[in-house]
Amino acid sequence: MSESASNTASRRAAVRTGPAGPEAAAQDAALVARCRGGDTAAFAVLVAKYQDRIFNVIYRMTGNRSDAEELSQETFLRALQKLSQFAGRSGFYTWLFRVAVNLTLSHRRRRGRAAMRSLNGPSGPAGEDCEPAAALLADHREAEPHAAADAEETNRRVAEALGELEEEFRVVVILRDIEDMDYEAIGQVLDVPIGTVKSRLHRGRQALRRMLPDLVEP
Amino acid sequence: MNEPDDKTRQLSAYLDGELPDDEASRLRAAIESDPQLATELQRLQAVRRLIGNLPRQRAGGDFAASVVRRAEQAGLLRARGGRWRRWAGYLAAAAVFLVVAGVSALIIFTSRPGPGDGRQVAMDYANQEPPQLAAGREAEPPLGASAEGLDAAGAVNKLEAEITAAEPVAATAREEAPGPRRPVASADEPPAWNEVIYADDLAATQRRVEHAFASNSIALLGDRRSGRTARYNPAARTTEAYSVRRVRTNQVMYTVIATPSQVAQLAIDLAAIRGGEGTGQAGADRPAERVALRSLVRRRPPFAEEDGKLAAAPSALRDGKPETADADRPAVGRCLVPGPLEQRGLAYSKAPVPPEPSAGVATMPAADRSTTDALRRHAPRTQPVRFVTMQITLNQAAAATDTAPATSTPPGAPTD
Repeated sequence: MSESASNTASRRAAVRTGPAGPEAAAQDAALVARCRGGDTAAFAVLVAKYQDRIFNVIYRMTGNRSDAEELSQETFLRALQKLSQFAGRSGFYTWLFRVAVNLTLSHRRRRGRAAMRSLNGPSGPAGEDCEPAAALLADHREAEPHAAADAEETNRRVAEALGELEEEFRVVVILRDIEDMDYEAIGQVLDVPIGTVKSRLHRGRQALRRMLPDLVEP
Repeated sequence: MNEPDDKTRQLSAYLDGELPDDEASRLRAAIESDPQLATELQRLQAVRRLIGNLPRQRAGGDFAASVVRRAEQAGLLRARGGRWRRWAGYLAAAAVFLVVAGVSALIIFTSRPGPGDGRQVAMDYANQEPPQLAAGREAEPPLGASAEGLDAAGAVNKLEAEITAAEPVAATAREEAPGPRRPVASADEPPAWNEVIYADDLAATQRRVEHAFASNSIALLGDRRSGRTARYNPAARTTEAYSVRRVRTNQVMYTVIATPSQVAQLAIDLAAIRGGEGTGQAGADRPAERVALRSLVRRRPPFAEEDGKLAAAPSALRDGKPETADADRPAVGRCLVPGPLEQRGLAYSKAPVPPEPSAGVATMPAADRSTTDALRRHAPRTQPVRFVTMQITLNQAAAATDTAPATSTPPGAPTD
């Protein structure tokens, strides 16, 4: 097998199993099997495992914490409801993100795509509610107040720019650059060909580049 | 066809390592000869970095409880009396499933554990295959009200039961104010294992490193001011065992306090990350700890599928070759991973060797009696609880990446 073919095969395997690898995929499959039997503990494990990642993606898509909370909960309930339709062709992780993204897009359409506010404004979580990146900022603030303020301002502007992107570009950028999904997984989540993922991602990044010229100039 | 536009369109995919090898090679050549294309690549890299640096947001503390409650109300799960305590038991079990390896940071083990020794339990857990949840379990009777019902893995339950017995707050998970986070270990000695990673994309590498922590059930220390002390969080039932600080804009440093087994697993995970993101150095400041850790690393299975990154893993680890010769080498800083940065002369530098500390690694303070008692059941009576400290430094390989994009391999990109 050529290296390219080998890479492609291993990427496909990664898409099927999710980014955490085959062990995590095997665990997920077992948990899903038990969820289908109404097993509460297995469901709780799945929720605990994915809640933060699902929440973060939805939060970045909506820019609103309470919407993200509600939609994240709805995602898990919907997934539980539709579990019989999960055939295992993709990883559970990919399938769950698909549920989350579809729910969020429907929600945004219902809301008429209200303009997003800054994702890091006063209503945003702070302190221990935030994960390491925010922790970095906090540390930064203690050591170098000006640098921390700069970083916070940068994040605010980036989040705002992300919020201004067209929906179809924003979701691809989030799945790739925040969730670290590969193109094939993104294609499965959005049910679009890889070529479309490639094109939307490039256009999304180009748009962000134009919105943040001073931050991206080499 | 407008050829330059086509090339520009391919830059994002090139950056993400999503171009087929032949197209990537052609584009690399084009970037080398076209400064505008190179500049555009740098801009896109900057965009990706900015997005990746956005703070991660987390669901609220009662998120899982709310979801389970709603699922029960909707009749999507088997009803079991509906009492909060029962759900709390399940949720505590779920938390245990995710963090029990972190809890195992509280478990002592020696180099040659005997049968039935608690340290063997920790090792069993650390070395076990993925939990056998499905096979043979489907027909089991419904779960009981306690966390024992979550038979994710026998070893998990063993540990969980031990900890639960001494942790009434965690065991019942009552809806009450979380208790104070309890210090369980501190690590003021020099790290037993160092990792230095040069990353083409610092933000992406940070995410991967933090995923590695999460997958080893090592949580971020809540209070960043006491980053040298690991603590047990009775409400979340997690061991908060790593701290992070940004030293400079292009450097991030993690301190991890964990069992040797966890550190060994992390070393493997980080080697895989280095394979994808650049190169680095691994070593231990203390020969005795290094030997023990390397022995553990060798006992691990080879690297998990990391999407083609196996080839870049340290050969000594990959091939299981003995490293005893290194145990006598006083210096750290042997470059384990050959890669593009090494070829550019940026691979590593020899770090000075700190003096051998007179005492062992971290000892657990006696302040927290319940946790201490739980741990001591696993511990030999004559030895302190042992932890090791791992230090991980991520460096942005900015000069190499940003000024010479044509010669750098983007993370995850197929190599020639």
